[in-house]
Amino acid sequence: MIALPEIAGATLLALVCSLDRAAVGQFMLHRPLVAAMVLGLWLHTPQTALFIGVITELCWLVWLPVGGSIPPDDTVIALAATFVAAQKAPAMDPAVAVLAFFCAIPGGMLAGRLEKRLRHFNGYAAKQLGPLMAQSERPLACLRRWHLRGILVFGAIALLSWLLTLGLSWALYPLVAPVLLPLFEALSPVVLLLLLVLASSAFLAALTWRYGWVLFALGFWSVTGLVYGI
Amino acid sequence: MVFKRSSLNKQRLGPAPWWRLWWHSLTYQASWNFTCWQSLGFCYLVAPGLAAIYAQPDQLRQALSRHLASFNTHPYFAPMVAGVCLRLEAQAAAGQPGHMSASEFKALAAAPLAAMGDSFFWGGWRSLCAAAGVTAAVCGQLWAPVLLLVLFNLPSLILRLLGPVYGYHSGVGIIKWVQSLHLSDAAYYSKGIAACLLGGAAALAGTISAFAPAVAENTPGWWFWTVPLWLLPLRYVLKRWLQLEWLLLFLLLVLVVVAYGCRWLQGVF
Repeated sequence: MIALPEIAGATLLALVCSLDRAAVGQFMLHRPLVAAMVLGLWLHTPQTALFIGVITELCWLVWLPVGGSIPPDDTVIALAATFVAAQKAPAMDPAVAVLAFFCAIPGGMLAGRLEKRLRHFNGYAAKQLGPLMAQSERPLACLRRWHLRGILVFGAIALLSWLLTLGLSWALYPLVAPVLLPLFEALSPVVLLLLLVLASSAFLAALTWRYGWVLFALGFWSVTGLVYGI
Repeated sequence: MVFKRSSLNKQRLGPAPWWRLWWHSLTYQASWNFTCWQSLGFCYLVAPGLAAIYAQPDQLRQALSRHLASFNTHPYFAPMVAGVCLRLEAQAAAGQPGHMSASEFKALAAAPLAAMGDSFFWGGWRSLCAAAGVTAAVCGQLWAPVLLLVLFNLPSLILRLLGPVYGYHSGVGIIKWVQSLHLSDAAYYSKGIAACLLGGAAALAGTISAFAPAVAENTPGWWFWTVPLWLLPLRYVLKRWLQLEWLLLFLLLVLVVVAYGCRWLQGVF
């Protein structure tokens, strides 16, 4: 049973973080590592949040929010995965965290597409403003009103994305958990390594392969050597 | 025409428009759209300065309309562009227009600044800060997100706070200053350092990570040293065939089908 304060707090956090993605601030509060951690502290599962934050942070790091490109909503993926994992396993369990992360991906992808569609509403405001400002007695107030109205559009996008992603991952989790949880439990000692390698591959795909791979390998072998005193 | 310093002093803006510009820069992309991008946001950004420059309502209305044209640049560079535009508007209002109008400057500067800002802030610096945060997080440090926030926001906040004032005082010459920063090179090196940090984070994830205590107790086998080699085919698949989210969904689907298939076979035999 989900407690009302928990879901209300998570929704408020999702709203604030999603607004930070583009509309307000852009202080990187929306980065999965940050957003998941704040939610984890709120739900008393900081280790689970950190685990999910790390995976989600790296998976879509290569996507740049430039021009009209809207990547999958990694903020709501991290938040929904943390919320579901915290509800299913109050103590840190890598298998549950990975499964919750997988279940949140379809919702996050749909949320990205939804955002693209809803952003067109702001275009309507932009078309209207020119003639309105020319007639208005107070052009500055008119400009402020139409510009800040965009925050409402982004707020609506944020709430819809959050509800969609949370709902989908909440519905998907019990369907796949009986068959996948034992597998992820067996893999849990190396599951973070596997996902980090997968996510790093996506990051290195955006670099010249020699440059990126040599530096990755250098970092990997140096740290392994240091850890084992070689 | 050479711009005289005395007339700039006459048009000097007090602190209030600068603070309001900075405040407005926080919601710069609130009305982002596919029709004219950040035009409303830019108009909203320069509005306090224009109101200080143009006392007559008609002049102000015309100036605002000029800045409603399509515009798109990196959001952290936009306040600096606004500073330069306010200087050009102040010059024009003082009857000493320079060799370029504010609209012409916007049209010329938007794309190069967007390219440099996207490449450095989104492509390079953000990756480096995220990799540093991830490395700390893999070791189980709860302050890892704070590291990401502080590292990333230091240069971006300085640029957003001081950019408009510096832009106003430097005028169109600000572009030379931005070029002298060599942001594209900085982005390239930041990505390289990020790749190196991610290699370190992967090694930590398989050895002493807070999330894999069972592994930490044992020395991993020879296979562990081959992990960087796994990246080569994976990178190829992700670059040529599939985006990561589709690969993850495909993996999930395959795992579910295989798991249900095994159960069904167990039932049959």
